[in-house]
Amino acid sequence: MNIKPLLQGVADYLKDAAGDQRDKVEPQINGYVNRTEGRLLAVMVESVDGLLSPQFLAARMEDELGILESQAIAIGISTASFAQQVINTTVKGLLVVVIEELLKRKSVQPE
Amino acid sequence: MKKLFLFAFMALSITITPGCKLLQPTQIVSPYNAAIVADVVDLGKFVDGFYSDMETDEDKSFTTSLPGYNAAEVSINSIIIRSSVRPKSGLIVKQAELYKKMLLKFRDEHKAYGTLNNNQIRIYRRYLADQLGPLLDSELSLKQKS
Repeated sequence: MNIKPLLQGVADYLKDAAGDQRDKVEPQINGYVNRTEGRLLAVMVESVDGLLSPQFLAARMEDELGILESQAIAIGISTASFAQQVINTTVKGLLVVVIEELLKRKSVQPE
Repeated sequence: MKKLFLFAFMALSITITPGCKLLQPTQIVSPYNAAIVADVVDLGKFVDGFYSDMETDEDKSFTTSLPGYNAAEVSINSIIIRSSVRPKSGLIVKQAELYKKMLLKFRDEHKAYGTLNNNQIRIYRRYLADQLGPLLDSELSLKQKS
């Protein structure tokens, strides 16, 4: 079984989930692709001796979708967290500007 | 001059008072909760140990394993409840529900098989660990923004 196309599909799906923030979450995406590869190889190794039924293997392939969905959500939350950082920094910067403006006004206010 | 000081004091008080909406950043993600991280880590350890013990035990029957499945279900339910009370928690709750769905599916399969072989146990162990990982990643990524 050639799993490379499947892994490429996983990588593409997760990159889509990251949108234009994909550079920031690239290690996370690579980590998930590596985990998927390791998992699929483990399934192949465990099925060599014939102790895993076709139904069992089919059920695990269905489970791949649940894992992929959770990975895509994690990527989405990571990128949203980066956006949250930008928002927080902007608001903090705005606060500093407001305070500085207040202090300036105080310094030029005639007694 | 006194008026200006009073104004500045009031403005600063308003902007830094917890709970005041003025100049508070818009929240697009849930607030970080260290207790949820601890719960997720504990659940991961428990389930890993549960299947690890099963692999070495002679008795791998569903009946013997049922208390372990029940304990794991209680833990994930607790995580779902704890997560869902936070604002903007829908996606993390969804991840926890995906984990619960997999856990219950494995429990039902175990029940249908009656017993498991070590190959099946190792696969279950791996899938549940990989289903839980992204949930932990999500919760930890929330820490970065605070």
